[in-house]
Amino acid sequence: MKKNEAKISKSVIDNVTFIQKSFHSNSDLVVRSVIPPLTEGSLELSIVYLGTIADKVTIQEHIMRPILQMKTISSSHPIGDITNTIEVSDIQVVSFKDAVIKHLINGQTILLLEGMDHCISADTADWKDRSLSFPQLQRSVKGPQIGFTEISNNNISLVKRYVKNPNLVIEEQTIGDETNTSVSLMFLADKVDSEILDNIRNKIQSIQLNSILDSSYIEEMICEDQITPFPLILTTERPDVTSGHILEGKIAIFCDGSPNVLIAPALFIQFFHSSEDYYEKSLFELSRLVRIFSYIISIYLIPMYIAFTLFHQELIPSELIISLASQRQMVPLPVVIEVIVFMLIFQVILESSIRLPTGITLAFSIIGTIILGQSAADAGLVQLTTLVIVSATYVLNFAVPIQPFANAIKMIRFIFVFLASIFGIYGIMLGTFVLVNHLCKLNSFGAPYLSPIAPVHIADLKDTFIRMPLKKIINTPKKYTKDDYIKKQKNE
Amino acid sequence: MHYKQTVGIIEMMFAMMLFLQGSTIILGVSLEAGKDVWLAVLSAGSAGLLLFSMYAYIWKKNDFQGLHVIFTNQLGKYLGFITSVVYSIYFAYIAARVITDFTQYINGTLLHNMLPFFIKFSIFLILIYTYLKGLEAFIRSAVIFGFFTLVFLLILPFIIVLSGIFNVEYIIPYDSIDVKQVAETVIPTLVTFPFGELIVFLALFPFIKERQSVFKGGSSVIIIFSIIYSILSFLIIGALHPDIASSYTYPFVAALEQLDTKYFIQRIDILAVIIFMIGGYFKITVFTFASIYVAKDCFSKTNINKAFLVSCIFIAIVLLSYTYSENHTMHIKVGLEIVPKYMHVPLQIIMPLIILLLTFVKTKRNKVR
Repeated sequence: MKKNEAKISKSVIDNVTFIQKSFHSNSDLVVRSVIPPLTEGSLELSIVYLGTIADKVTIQEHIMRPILQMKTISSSHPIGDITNTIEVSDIQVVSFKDAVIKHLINGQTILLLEGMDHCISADTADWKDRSLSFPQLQRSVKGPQIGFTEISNNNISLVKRYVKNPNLVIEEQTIGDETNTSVSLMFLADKVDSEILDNIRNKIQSIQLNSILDSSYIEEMICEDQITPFPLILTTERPDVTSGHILEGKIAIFCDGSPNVLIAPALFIQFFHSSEDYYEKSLFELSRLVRIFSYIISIYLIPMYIAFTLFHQELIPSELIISLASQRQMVPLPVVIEVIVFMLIFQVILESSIRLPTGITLAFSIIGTIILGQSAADAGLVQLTTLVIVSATYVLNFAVPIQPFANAIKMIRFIFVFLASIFGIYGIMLGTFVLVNHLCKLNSFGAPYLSPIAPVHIADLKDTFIRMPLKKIINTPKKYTKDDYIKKQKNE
Repeated sequence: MHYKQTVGIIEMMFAMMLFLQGSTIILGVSLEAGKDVWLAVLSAGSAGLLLFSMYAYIWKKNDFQGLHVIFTNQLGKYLGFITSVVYSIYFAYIAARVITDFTQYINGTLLHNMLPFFIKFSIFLILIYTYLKGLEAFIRSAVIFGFFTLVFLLILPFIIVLSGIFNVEYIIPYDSIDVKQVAETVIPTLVTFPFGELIVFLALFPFIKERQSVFKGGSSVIIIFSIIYSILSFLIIGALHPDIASSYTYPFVAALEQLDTKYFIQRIDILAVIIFMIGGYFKITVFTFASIYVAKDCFSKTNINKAFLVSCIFIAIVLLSYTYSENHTMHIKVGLEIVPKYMHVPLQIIMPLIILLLTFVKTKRNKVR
């Protein structure tokens, strides 16, 4: 929006023309002139609002009626009198033209007074929203069953219900020249790391995007200086998870219009954590280890299969190698091609099943599972072992609670398959060296991505692989070892 | 000289552990000592501890600086420069030797038909990648690799004993210790390789955050590693036989090949292969980093392009890795007989002793003044 620092004029008609011009005579722009029958003094005013986003009942009941029932008005302070008359809680006095426009597009009602260079803005916004429901992507068996919706203010209030603390600060700003999206940072003022906060604040302010439709736009813009498939920001749609992270001293980013809240800094290990971990019994809970294990196996299973069958048959038990060899006889394609073709087919099945209309799901599952799986093996197009290995990989991959993180290894898996088919185990190790080095170099807004594992931070390890009793982890907050990363950026 | 202190002591300890483990266990140098191998390793470890304390002392008394600064402080500008260059080349040469070890091993056990060139080239690419990611990320990755290595090395003795490949009669009698044979293995081969090679860390220590705990951390790594190494060597001798063990090229793998776990992976030696790859990678990279840092410090005052210098060292490492690379026997002979005597001993023991003496005299003189 172009900066228009001009003040509004004293004439109501001029102002109304200006507003109509700014909105290009929009059909939902409602202008209503009111002249209340006063016994003393005179008042002429126009009520302006956008009919589609302002609540008409509020305007009728709490703005129009009180004004029409006014009996007197003082000539010296008409604005004060009117603000005392209107029965709306959030009222502001506005005097700049661009502020008027901004308030209108946010659903506020503007009251223009004849002869005054100020006007009144009353909050009557009524955004259409779905009602609160279960979290769609991050379901849990135990614990709160509420998820965020698309309205940022509702989401903030959900978190505020968990964290009733005066230190909980919300910083709102508007970004995106075309969409004017409101983006709010939420953090605990006494726990947040000020360097990380400054860093995130600066990055959000310097976003040069015209439109912001979802929080993922912000995620991409503030993480763009590091090229990596791994997400550097945690995305969640659960208010309890958000509260937990805020209480650890992290920063939550709410973007209006998106049910996904961003949490930064995010660590590698936290993508394996689920809110349930804290609601189930501690110490004896294996689920985190299971998730980490299955994530790692889902990278290595297919490459290992290729390396063993192509290069290191002597390492496979003899019974197994006989069974593999007898399957091999029937199959035309070399094992690498077979694996890659089936990985691609699985990827396509996943991709198409996400957006499938409910009517076709039955037909799709028959084609996808029975025909592609069973019949392909019966027809001798593919080894059964290959099918088992590839499907197991994808099943293991779903154990990770956060989807973008599970998707991060898609490409890596293909690279490992490629390396394994050239160098065998050695190639897999080469890939591992690169992968681990890459992960060690990454950092999420100054916090090393692999912390507290590498660099080792013994105090934080209590809540890493196994959750220790709450008594030990809640009252001693985690400290994120910071890199020189932020300073480096400042120097540049 | 200003060093950005970014590396934590625990990460450095893991890196030292991987470095010591490097090619040591796989090549089985200690097995020359026959059935007294455990004693040989432990005495070499003690000697290594002494050497390490000397290095740590030199480093501390020279204001926690890098190798080049230490040499110029103690030997003067020109002699210091020459010594630093010698060390830089020495590190590059050792890196090249480990690359050759590595290539021969991969070629001999895993990829029989692969041209050595491709293996060398791939190591080289990984090396460049690691260098570009920086020392900090590299040393951090040691935690992850070190953890797996440590778990494997700690479980392995139990597997060997439980699987029954260990023959007690090979070791009996316990009490007749052949001191001469032990001494021959320990000096100079086992002291210098791997313990004396720790001098390379003097080039990396300036990047450590917790400077005071370096000595404690380093010595505990040496102690833990010596104990693990001595137990493993003892078990390998028991599995293979004292007279035969040293005739294997890779006695450690040969011992593990006898294991039949009857599970999904028939032979556990694949894990040994992975452990060796990790150790080899760490050894090569540590030497490369050290060589580059020493060279960079040397030429910091001249206007030689840094990138040019680094590429020169990389090319030198690749070229050096081709000396005797076709002839495995010759390579091992050079590595176990010539290099320890004529390179390791002067550069790992004699030179540091001279520096220690000079440092000592200088600090005394300063105190008197």
